[in-house]
Amino acid sequence: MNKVFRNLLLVQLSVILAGFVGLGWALRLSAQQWGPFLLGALVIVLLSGLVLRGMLLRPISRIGKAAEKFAQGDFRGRLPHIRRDELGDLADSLNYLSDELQKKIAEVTKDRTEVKAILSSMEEGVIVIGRDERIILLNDPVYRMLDLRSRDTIGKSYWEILRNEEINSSLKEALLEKKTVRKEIHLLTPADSQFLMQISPVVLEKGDLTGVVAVFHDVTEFNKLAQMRSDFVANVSHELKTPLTTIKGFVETLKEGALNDPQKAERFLDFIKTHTERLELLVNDLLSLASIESKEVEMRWGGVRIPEVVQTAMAICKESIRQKKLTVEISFPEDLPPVRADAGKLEQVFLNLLDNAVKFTPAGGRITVSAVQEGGYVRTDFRDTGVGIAADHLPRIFERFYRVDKARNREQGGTGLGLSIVKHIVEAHEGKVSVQSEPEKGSQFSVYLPLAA
Amino acid sequence: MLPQKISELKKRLIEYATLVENMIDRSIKGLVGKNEDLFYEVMKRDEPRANNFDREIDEMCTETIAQFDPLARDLRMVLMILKMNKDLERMADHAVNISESGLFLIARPMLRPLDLVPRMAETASAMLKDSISAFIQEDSDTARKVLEKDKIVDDLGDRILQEVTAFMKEEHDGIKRSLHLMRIAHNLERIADLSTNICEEVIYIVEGKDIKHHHGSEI
Repeated sequence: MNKVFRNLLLVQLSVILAGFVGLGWALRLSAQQWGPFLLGALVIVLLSGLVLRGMLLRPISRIGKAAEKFAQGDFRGRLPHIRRDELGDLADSLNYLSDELQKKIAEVTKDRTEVKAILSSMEEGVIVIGRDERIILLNDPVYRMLDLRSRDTIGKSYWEILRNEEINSSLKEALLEKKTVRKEIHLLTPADSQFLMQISPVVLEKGDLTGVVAVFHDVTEFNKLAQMRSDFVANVSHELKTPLTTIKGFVETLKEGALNDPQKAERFLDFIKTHTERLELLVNDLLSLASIESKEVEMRWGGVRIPEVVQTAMAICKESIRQKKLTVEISFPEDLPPVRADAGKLEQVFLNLLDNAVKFTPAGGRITVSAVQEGGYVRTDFRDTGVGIAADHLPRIFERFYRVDKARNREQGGTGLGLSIVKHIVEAHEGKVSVQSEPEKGSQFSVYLPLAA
Repeated sequence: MLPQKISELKKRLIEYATLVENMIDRSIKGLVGKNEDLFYEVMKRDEPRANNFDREIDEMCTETIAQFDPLARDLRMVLMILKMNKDLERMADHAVNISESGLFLIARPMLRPLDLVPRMAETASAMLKDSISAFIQEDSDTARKVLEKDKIVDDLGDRILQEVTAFMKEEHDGIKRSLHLMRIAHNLERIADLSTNICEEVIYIVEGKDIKHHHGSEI
């Protein structure tokens, strides 16, 4: 790159040398005079050449080298500021250029890392696809949501990477027709899940459509909740309707003449009373569930001794235990620490669990209640030798109105809400409840409650 | 022109494979989750589309050979796409078979050995997915790894056969259910076999080497 200047320098030096020869000619130098004259001229020319090389060629090549380094992204080198001429100005400009470039690059890098951080911390999956069907951008959640098999996705065609036919045909449609596509996608692998997918055309450069951006929003939980809510309404209506129909039937029979038969009337009124009580029980359970759920009731926290609460609950069940001739074993360690609880609510939990144990244990069976400290919790176990629960029902028994055996449970006078209430109260205590069971062998419910501070 | 045509063909085949992968997933999930909607999706919606893909890819292959006279690797690619197209078409049929038997089974009490079927299905479906990945990346190493999994599926198939026969000996009213379950296991076995075909075809595209029928000896 310094060849032009070097050649110019050589030409210039030759011209000066020629000038000297011309001068010698004009002075009509004698043969003896030509020798020293030419030697002197040569010395002058070479000296001036050296000076010019130092002043022009060296700095120019140094500037060139620095610029090359800048281009490679190495901004450490600075050009020394020593001269106040055109080359000095050029060096200054280059230094300035280097500073600005460095700043701009830092800005762009920062923008890019910011965008990347924002995109990967989003809950939604985002994919940007260019007009050439290649993936421009794909954020982290997408890998998990769509179960992608390859980590190397950027620059690949979307149909190589996203292996879901429904998504791919929607993307194709959006790219071809430049339109927005909204769809709910039901994925089967890796887990059953539902996504709301919105694909919108994007303009990345001026004017023309340059691709689409697809956003995936996980609606699995939302759909599940909506389903649970509508199930709940259906269940409540059904549970309320059953006793009401019975009551209505008896009232009508009474009106149609049974009232005149005192014996029949008495029996019918008894039925009506039983069913009204059932209704009351159900409404009470619903109300207490609703109040725990809404967290409106104030909890009366205190240090509670589990053996005392178990005794109170046991006293209530005493009569039915005696009737079924059940053996009850209660054992607590001496040094069992108190738990942080609302004694009244906890009594409701234990009563429900005991009541279930009594109901589902055949006559002559055994119920065992024990407690033990486990880390920051006390675990209270209610074990029975009852009918047990089959494995496929276990995950669902804490759901409202879930019944393992519908006919039997209603016969036993349950509302289908007991375990649901247990779970909600225990959770309000920041504890948890779990169950283990084997059909025909018995069940064990364990309640974990945090220790009192 | 030829490279474009071939990449278009490749794209079509991958789209087809994606549809078939999803069909198999749906038929299995239908069985495990007792969801008959998924079966109907496979039989009524997906199967006609699979047939369209099959016809279209056949035609595209013929066209490519007629127009461009491809050579060497290009020729291998077109020929193998033609074969894979047939493999996929068969697999789509297997998904439909599974759905039919699934429809029969989910309407009735379940037989005991069902826990083996999902395991078999999982392996078979992973084999298909990996074989297609091998094709996408033209990666013969991935293809070779798939070949090794075939044995797992075969073994599971054998175990299901044993359990089902034992069941038929004890309970005579479950014979029809047992046969349907066996049919599902058999179709899964075929899906795994066809996945190994695809892998052999990928190896042939990449290496120009035919490894069919002598697994283990030199691969």
